[in-house]
Amino acid sequence: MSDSNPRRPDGVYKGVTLDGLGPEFDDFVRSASAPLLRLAYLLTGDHGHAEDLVQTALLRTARHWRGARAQPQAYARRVITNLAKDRWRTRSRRPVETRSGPEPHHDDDPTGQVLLRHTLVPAVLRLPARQRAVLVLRYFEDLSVDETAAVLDCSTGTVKSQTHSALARLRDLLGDDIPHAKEIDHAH
Amino acid sequence: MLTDEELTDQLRLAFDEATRQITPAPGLGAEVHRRHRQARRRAGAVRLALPVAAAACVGGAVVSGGGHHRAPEPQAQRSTPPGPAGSVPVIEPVSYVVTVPSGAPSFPCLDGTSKPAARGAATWVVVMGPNDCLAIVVRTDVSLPGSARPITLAGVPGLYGTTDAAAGSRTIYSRNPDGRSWSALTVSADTPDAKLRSFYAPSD
Repeated sequence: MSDSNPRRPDGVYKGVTLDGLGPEFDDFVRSASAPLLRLAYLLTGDHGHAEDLVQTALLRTARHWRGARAQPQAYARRVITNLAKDRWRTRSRRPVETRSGPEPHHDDDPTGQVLLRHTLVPAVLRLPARQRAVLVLRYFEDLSVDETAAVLDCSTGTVKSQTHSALARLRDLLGDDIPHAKEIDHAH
Repeated sequence: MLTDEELTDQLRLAFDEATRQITPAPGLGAEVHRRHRQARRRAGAVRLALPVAAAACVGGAVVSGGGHHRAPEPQAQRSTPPGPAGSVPVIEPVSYVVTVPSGAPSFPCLDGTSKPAARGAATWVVVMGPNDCLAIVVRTDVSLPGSARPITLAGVPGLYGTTDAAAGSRTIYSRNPDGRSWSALTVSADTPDAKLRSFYAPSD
């Protein structure tokens, strides 16, 4: 390389990286890392594992960049979902990891909404992998039923039934933590 | 009891709250680049994506071990004398995987490991080891030329070969699973048998 084209810390020479990935990939990493990490966190319930999944997903996206570059985030999202499912399978008999956090202030929460939200995510983490993924993809990623089916490689009917089952299971898990609708209405 | 809509509204809020503080570690992009380069350099696995026809049931040329698609050993060992179609052992179509020794230094020919030498051409530069590259041409669905003679690569029966002295090349033919057509692997005439064998037999 000539002196006029010094190597940047990220290994980029005039827009072409040493590993064959162009600046387009860097733009993708910059914009997509945070949303992908949040998705991975909700699927795994563990920040460290979420980071591992994201890194693996980005690597796989890099490896298949030619095919994935049209919709890299969708590609990476799918990788993360599959990896989380695999991880769930291997850990299905072990206790669920949940992040410990500050207890909600019940005094400021007469309707139980804050309490509900604090208990919802741990409850979602106790759902079976497929149900958890359906809820996260639909209500965090805001994907349609069709898009969710594409990510999970299943039919739209399966997505609908899994959503229904997941919500029912959530109610079971939450039990008395779910406030009545009227209470929420009053709070608004 | 909350309706589904109310519960999902709460879910959205809960998801947002739970992830609001989550941000990726700085340097993630650089780390991905580093690992990607490392994987390309040493990982070992350069899959020769043979032409689609070869990967489908037509082609059956290049066989190797070391990958996920290892050829079944008994089939590769089956020995049948050359003769009419169907009587020659068929080698299952498998992707070829080249293992680059761990820690192999970067050198120019590495750049071509997983790329065809020219777009559309089935010519590949394969890295066999440090400073050891091999260009091969893979063709599927070819006819066995009359000049082809049976050759023996240790443990790999049913192969035929021709040599083109003018071009300085050598071509090895293996029968496709359809029992009629052949696949051809062309390499430099001075390519040692041991290297050639690695294309057809599981690595030791």
